[in-house]
This record gives sequence, C-alpha cells and structure tokens, in this order.
Amino acid sequence: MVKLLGAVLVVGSFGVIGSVIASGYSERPRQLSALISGFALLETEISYSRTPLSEALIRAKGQKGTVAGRLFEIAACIIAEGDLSPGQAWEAAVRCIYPFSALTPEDREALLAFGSKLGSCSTADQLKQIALVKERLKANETCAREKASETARMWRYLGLTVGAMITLMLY
Amino acid sequence: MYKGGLALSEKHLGEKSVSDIITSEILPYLPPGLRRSIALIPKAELDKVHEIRLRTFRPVVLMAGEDEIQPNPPYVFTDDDALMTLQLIACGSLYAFEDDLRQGYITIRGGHRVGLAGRVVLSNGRVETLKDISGFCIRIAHEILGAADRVMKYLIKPPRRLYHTLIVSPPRCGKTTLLRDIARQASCGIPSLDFPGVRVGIVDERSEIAACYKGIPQATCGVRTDVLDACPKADGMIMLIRSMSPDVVITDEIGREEDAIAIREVMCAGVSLIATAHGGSWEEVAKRPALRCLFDGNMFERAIILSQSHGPGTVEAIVDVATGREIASGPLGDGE
Repeated sequence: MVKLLGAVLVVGSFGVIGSVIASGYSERPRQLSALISGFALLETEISYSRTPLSEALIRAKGQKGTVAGRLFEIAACIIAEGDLSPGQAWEAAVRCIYPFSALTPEDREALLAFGSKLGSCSTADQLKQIALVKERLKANETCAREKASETARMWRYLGLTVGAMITLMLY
Repeated sequence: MYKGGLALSEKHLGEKSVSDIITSEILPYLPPGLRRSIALIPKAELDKVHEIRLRTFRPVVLMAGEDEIQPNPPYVFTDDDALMTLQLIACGSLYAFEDDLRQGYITIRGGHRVGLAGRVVLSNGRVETLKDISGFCIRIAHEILGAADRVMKYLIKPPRRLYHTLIVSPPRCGKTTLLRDIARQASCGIPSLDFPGVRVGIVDERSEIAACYKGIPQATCGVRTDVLDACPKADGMIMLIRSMSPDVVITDEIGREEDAIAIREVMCAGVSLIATAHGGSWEEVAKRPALRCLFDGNMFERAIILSQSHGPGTVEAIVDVATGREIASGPLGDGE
C-alpha cells in the first residue's frame, strides 16, 4: 500500500514539474498577446484623443502586474520625469522588464525598434509605428503559440514518463 | 434659491508674482543647465520679465519691457538644448501638438504661449508642420485680477447685458489679460455697478484666456463661465451658443473671414460678444479685409483701444462705435 502511494506520489510530482515547465512555454504567447492589446489601446489614445505619451501609456497599460502593464507604466514614469527622450525612456523600460519576462531576444528587438521614433513624429507616423510593432509581435505570438503547444505537450508527457521510469527503477 | 443680481465670488489662489510663475511654471520646460542659470537672476529683475527668447547658438535673453536681461554668466542655447526644450514643451509627444506646430506655437500649462521658429514643411502650398526648431519665444501669461475695473462701467448695457465690444491693440499690450478679467467680472457679477453675474462662454482656441489643463480652467475666469478649450473660434462660438446658451461669448484674436461670419451669427442670436483683434487703431482693424463685414454693418458697439504708453494694459480710449465718440479717453494707466 505504501509502495503504491509512493509510486503515485513520484509520478504525480514529476507530472506537476512537467506541467510547470510546460506552462512556462505558454507564458510567452500570453505576454505577447497582452502587449498587442496594450499597443491597440495606445493606438486609440493617440489617434482619437491625441493624448500625450506618458498619459496615453498609463491609460493603455491594461491589467496591473502583467509585463505589458509594467512596461507601459515604467516608460510613462520615465517620460514624465522629462530627463530622457521618449525613445530613451522606452528603451530603458524594455531593458528593465525584459529579464523578468518570458520574452525572447526577437520580441525585445521588436519592442526596441518601436521606441526609435516614439514621440518625435506625426500622428500618422506614430500610428504606422504602432501597426508595425503589432504586426511583428503578432507574428512572434503565432510562432510562440505553435512552439508552446508542441513543447508544452512534450514537457507534460516527459514529466509523467520520467516519474513512471523512476517508479519502475525503484521497484 | 438663487435670484438674478447675486454676485458670486470665485475662490482663487491669489495673484502670483512673475518670478514665481517663471520658477514654478516655466523653468520645468527648460533644460537643467538653463534652469539653473535663470534661477540665479535676482527676483526683482525676474518680476519684470514678460518674455524669454531662446535661439540656437545664441545667448538666452529675457525681455523686460524694452530692456533685455541676460543670465550671468551668459547662457548660450545649444542645439541639444533646443531638442530637449521641444521635447519638454511637447511632453515628448509631438503628435499631440501637430495643429499647434502648424500654427507656430504651443501653449503650455498655465496658458503661457511658446512661439516656435524653424524650417517650415509645406504640403500643397500650405504649412504642414515645423521642423528643425531653433527659436523659442516664451510669453509669460500673467493674470491680473481687476485689470478690467476701469472699463467695466462702459461695457454694461443695463440691466444685465454687455455691449458687443472689440478690444484693439498691437501685440503685448494686455488684450488677453483684460479679456480674461472682463470674463471674470461679467461672470461673477459687479455689485458696485449693480450688475448681476451672467453666463459667459469662452472660446479659447490657444488656451491662453482660461489656461485650461485637462479641460479645467487654471486662470480665474468666473463662476458662471464655460470654456471650449483649444477649439477653433468660428466653430466654437456656434457650438457654445447651441450647447451652453451663454449670455456673453468671449474670444481672442479674431482675424479670419470665418471668425467674422461666426461673430455675426453670435451677435444676431441675442448674445453679447467680446473679442480682441491686433491693430494699432480702430481704423487699422477696420481695414482688414477679413473683418470688413463686421465694420460695414457697425456690428460692434464699443471699442477699447489699448497701448503700452503707460505700460501694458494702458487704455487709450473707449469708443462708442455707433457715434464714433470717445466715451472715455486715456491714457488710463495703472496710476489712473
């Protein structure tokens, strides 16, 4: 009975570990999706009400605690301080949140490229820049979702399989 | 219950000195080095300043009347300073100020107008925007409560109306300051003249009269005053009449044909109109082609002519337009 309980525990634990690793892979598409939503809101703020950048970013930040929310909030604060240009402020914000996100270097490049013209061009050009970054992030998101579904499934199965193997070895 | 005739006072923070305005409202928009440099100028000198002139690769100059004040040691404004100033003035969001750039100025918080000079970009023969901005002229808006004390009695048409009035002067003679105080007094009421407060609508195309920030007037412009901020004058006057049913419509610097047409609409709708126009004299303004229709029909009833002869805001004359008679003649300066 104890052996059986132990076996269930070992298999279950490894299954959970596999699931945790798998969920890490689905985090990136989620974060990219939140960023795309944030940029869509920013687009509305700029095109409809011409809200100045720091305020527009705060309004577009969406849910608190998400990577998109933190990125927009940090950038807005730095811009409001006025010591850095909006482009520099955006770059600083991207570098600040990147280590704590599930984003990859190609996502970071897309975000950094968006900052180069931030706040220094006309509404039409600003909206073009937003459309461009949204497009790049969407492409990344599609790839990330495909990769996530394959890799996540693999990790889930791998967790259960390793758990089962260890159980067999212990028997 | 409120009945007409009650004069309401508006709670305000009191008048700030020019040096306080520069410190709290202008310096945050300047690069740190220049901020420190201007902060070293003695308060007594700063109090006389009405304009700050910044030109790339040239020394910064503060205008005090006809005198020029320079920071000590002189501060040469660099191209990096120009970039940073533009960024700070536009809150890092040039797209939000496209229309202002097209007009050649941006109004900052507090109603201070920053005139811009640079390279003009044309599209189909019209000004599209300004680029390579290298010159800034920061005009300090200074609210003077009571600036209209000397003229109000000539503008009241008993029992509770105001005459259609045009304030005429060259730039920097205090038109907007006078207009703002007329709005305040008309809105709050004047017990000494037995004038009840009336509903005032301000069309503030350049955010200079009411100095709105996020739609809320920062200047003291009256308790019964509604402001259409950053709205083109011609559209704004009609919008106000339809939406807010004002007794008086107030607007600044008329000059285009569509302004004149809208003004006729307002005057024919039973609403008093008070406006300003650039000009050295009544005759000069009357010659402006875009405004001719207003003068042909003698639409205005009163004209206030301002000058700088005894300092900004000197009233040279108040004219009854119908008869051409001066009902008050100046100069009515501060010492009047």
